[in-house]
Amino acid sequence: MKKMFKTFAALILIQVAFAGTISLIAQDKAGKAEKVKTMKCWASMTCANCQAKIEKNIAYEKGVKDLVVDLPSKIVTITYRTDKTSPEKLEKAIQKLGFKTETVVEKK
Amino acid sequence: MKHKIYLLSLLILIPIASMAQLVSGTVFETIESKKSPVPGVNVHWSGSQIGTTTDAQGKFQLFKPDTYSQLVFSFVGYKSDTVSIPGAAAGLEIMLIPGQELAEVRIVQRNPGAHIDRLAPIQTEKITYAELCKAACCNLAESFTTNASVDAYYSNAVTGARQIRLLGLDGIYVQLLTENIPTMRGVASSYGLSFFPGPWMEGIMISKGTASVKNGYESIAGQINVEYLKPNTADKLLLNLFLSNAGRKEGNLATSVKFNDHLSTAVLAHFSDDQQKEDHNGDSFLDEPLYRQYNVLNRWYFSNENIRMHAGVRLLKEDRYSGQMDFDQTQPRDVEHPYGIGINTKRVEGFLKLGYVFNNELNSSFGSINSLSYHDQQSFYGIRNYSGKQFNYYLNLMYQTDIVNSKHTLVSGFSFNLDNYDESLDSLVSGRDERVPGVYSEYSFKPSEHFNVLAGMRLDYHNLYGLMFTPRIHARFDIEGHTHFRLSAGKGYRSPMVIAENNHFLANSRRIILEPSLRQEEAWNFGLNITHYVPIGIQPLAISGEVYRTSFLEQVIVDLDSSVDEVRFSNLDGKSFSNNYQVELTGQFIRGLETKVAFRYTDVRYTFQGDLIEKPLISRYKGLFVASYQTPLKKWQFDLTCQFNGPGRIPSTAANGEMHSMPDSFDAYTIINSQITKYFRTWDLYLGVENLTDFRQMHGVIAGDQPFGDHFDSSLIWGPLHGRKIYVGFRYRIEREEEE
Repeated sequence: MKKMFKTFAALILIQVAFAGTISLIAQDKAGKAEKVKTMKCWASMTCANCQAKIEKNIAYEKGVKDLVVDLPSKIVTITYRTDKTSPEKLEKAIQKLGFKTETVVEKK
Repeated sequence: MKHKIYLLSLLILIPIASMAQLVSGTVFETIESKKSPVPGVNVHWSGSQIGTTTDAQGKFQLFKPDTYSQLVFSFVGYKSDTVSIPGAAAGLEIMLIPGQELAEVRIVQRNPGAHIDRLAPIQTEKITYAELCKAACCNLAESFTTNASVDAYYSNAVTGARQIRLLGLDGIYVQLLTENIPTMRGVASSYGLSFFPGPWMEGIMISKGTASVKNGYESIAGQINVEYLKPNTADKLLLNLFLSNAGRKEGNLATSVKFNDHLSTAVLAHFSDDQQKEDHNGDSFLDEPLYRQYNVLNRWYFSNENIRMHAGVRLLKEDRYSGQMDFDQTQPRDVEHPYGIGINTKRVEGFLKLGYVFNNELNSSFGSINSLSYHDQQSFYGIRNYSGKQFNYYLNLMYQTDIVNSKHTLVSGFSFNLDNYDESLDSLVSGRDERVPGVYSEYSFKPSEHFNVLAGMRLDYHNLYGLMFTPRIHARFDIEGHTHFRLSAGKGYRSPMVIAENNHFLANSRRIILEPSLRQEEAWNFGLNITHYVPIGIQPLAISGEVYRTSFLEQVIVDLDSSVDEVRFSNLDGKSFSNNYQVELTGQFIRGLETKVAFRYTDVRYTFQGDLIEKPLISRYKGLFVASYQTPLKKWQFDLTCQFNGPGRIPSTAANGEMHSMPDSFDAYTIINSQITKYFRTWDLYLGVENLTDFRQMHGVIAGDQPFGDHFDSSLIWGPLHGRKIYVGFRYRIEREEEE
């Protein structure tokens, strides 16, 4: 019983340590300032495969710093370096994968 | 600090909230029974000025204000109509019907997203392809390292045979399926798990407790269904190479060709080889067997408006050698020479699955499954010889239809299973024919999104054991979508094939004693699972708690306690049960970092000489911690899995004398696995380590120096036999071009 408890405690400890390390790394990255901008575009995705395809390919486009592909809303959010690429280039890259795209202008 | 946290949570929530408001889809009309997009259709929220028009491809998207929920579609020549949109929706397909009188707008399809699993009445855990990529996962036995419910273990110290356990019960109580076809039963069960190459798999579904009656009466502890890559969806090419420092070399190739919209084919091939002799624990026996496996599957897929067809053929050959380090296959097999083990397996499989969809209001469909397999195992364990051949034919015909409306669905069918066994152990020859026709019916009732029931029963007639009645029920309900309750109860049966399923006992000096008439195994299983989703973090935190109890009415007890010189197989006389209590937390608090913490307590007992005793060689508990971090662009992935295995009982070996005995229990131990993956656009590279702390069960073999003597025993295994293993792997793929 004691051992069981110990095991459980160890489990929690490891998790806290792991999460701590990762968040430190994440913070460190966020600290660096670069000329980055975020764009949103709508892509004609229909399934998880399409999502994977965009994630897989756009991540390797020049200047892409971050990427969120949301399948339910079909919205692709790309954070990019302004000196290396542009929204037009990125949208073209998505079209090249066989998707139709539309630039999203958020109302508000 | 507090403000920072608020700000952070706001930042996280804002994009989610604004995205959730988006509604998109396509408007079609039917021209000569073909769907054709309609451009220029006016789309607006009823009672507002907010709207848009469809583009040249008939597509539209607009944001949904909170105050409006009625979306109006209007176009000249079509009657305008209104669709109720309660929340965010994507991929809507709107069918406009021309003419004034027939005008109707119908939602043909709505993308269900990730809700399916949450709504299934049977508690099902899915191990996805991505999950399989978190560890080496060379075959099915190794695919469960990140899963808390399934344990993989070695069945003995010398053959390298791996088995799984679910709910504390041995793999034979888990029904194994490939794409809903029962597989690796009987003679194939001892080594079967290594015949499922990991890279062929698209996913694995694990359901605990008795499963659907559609697949037969056999699942007692649960069901594991393996889905392989499909010709119509697989990548054009997938190449995987793997190498470990223990000498394992593997190559996997999956390639698919799509001839046209209807017909496609895929070839999945696997080769693995290990010829490196190692003995790290100094027991004079190889730590892992030498083996070579060839495994090829060719499958075809055909579909048109009404028909779906899957068909395939698989060929498998494996040669496995083990035993003492000095053993050589060319030596004569007698007590004068080193102890050797040889297991030569050949297997042929063929399957044909047909589905016919009737285009009617009741979503009726007819399906048939035909499967044939022939399994041949020729083996020797020292001076013992075992040969097992099994021919199996399986037929399943099913008809599914809604009754009145889609709230009521009925699946009924007929199944037939034929097994022909031909076995010999030394001079003892035995044959057996099993023929089991059966009928089943399963009714599904879904009055709302929050409640559904699946009730099934089947009646089978076994030519040796007679009539079997199998009732099973599963129910699910949720409270406002965030707390889900699942209940299951049901019965299962199994015909024991003692020697085939316990082949590993041949690698020791224990005499095998069989009770003259072993009865068919029979058990009840009851389960309760509560899962609560808490909307914190990037993905909702899932907290689940579950209790499963399996209670045997009839069971074949594997008795290692009566005598150190024997292994007895006898009918259960009294009670036998397995109780499982498990809690699991899965969440993602930091983007890209998924964590899972699970704890399971297992209590497996059976009656032995009038007393309830604990099943030996099973850890009483298991703790699991899994962390997986993926960088934002998914170029790097870091995985860590820690398994904490509890202590357990070892059958007494005191009668062997001090020289050849083990303690009567084993202590808790920890296994840590880790892997780093680097993704490139078309290829991945991974480097990993299994059993990082190099923990091993020492003394896996009793009296290994006298393998032909009275005390030799290799079956008392509770822990890993192989220490730290380092591996590298490579995956290359050519994706399929998207045809629109």
